Amino acid sequence: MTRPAFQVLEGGLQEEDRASLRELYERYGPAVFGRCLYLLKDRARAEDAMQDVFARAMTHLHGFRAEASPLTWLMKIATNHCLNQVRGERAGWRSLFERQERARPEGHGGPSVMETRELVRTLLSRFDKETQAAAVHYHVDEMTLEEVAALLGRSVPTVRKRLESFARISGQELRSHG
Amino acid sequence: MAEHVGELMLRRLRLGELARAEAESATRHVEGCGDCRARLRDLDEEQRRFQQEISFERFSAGVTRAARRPPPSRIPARVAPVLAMAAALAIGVALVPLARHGESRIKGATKGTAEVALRIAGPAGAPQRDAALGAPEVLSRGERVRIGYKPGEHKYLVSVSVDEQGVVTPLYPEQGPALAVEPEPSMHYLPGSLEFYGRGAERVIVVLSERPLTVDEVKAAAKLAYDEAHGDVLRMPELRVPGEQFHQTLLKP
Repeated sequence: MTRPAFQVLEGGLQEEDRASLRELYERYGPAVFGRCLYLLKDRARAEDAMQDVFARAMTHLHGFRAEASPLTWLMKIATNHCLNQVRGERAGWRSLFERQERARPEGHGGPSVMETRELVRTLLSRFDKETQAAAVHYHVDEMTLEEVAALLGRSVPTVRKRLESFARISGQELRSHG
Repeated sequence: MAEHVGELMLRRLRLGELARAEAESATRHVEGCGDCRARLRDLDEEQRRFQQEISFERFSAGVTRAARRPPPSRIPARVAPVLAMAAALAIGVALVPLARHGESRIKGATKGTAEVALRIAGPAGAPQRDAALGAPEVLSRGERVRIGYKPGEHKYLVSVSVDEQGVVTPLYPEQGPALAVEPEPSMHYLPGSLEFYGRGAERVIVVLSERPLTVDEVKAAAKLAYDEAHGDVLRMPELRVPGEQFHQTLLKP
């Protein structure tokens, strides 16, 4: 059964659209909000970004429902959307990166005192957008190389190369099993 | 499955998105792994916190609003004032005036009423055009904008723009005190033309006032309005400066 694309009508949402929104809210809201908050680091902005992501899902509801993994699709959209916003604020990210770099402990053995997620977020600003997305999906979503490649529409060797460049700075090596 | 279930896969397992074989394999692992079971409990807690913080009504209202606005920009905007003067003028775009402080919105132009217009022209020889009033104006690549005004009873003018990243760019003048307007009641066009770079929406604001504001005052007020709108330039409120304001949103190519 197909559903019509989301139409914003005067007088409020139609019942069918409301039900679709409820489903999105309950099933995917926490994951998408969490991703937006992780990248934007501000709850109000994360909420706005989340709304944008779900607005897009509602206007492409038929395609969204046809995805093998609607959650993966939403996380890709959310990641891309937030990385675009962050890239427009390079000065802000740069100063945050510099503050965090100064706060990083000295010593060998890699970033043992920082969680992987925090480290990935800290270093994202140093890379191009595709490497940023690959790093988030690989290290935070813990997808395999093949899954990341499929999601980003790139070959596995290309994704591997991007993650290796990320690893040279972050110390976050690729997992031996994917 | 020897290693832990990945973060995204765990979420998909919880949502019932995994294919049968994958789901069975992941479930077997989770049942025997304390860490993964703890992570699943964390996801339940995340769900609870999310629904407590953001109600469905608030979510639904926000998504509905978001569906009405254009997609956000990706690249910070820069404005390049071009000094070449425009050719013969055609009918421009009248901007929607916001109210003076405490007064009702002014519509239409009558003798003595302040007015602002945006004229849009493409590369040399391309026809100039009108745009719908009160709606975001879509710019094509290479199009430039001239700002015109009728002063009404005002004596000074400052114009700035705000892009989706919150960068406030002074348009006229670039710094210091406001421009003194031409006193005649006809339409006057500010020198040069503007080309807006980047993508996404950019809001052009023109403030006509009786006392000379400074560019810094108007810039600060624009930043505040941007913050109040949580970065949505289409929803920016009136600036908290005296005088009459005109706002127009441009959608860059």
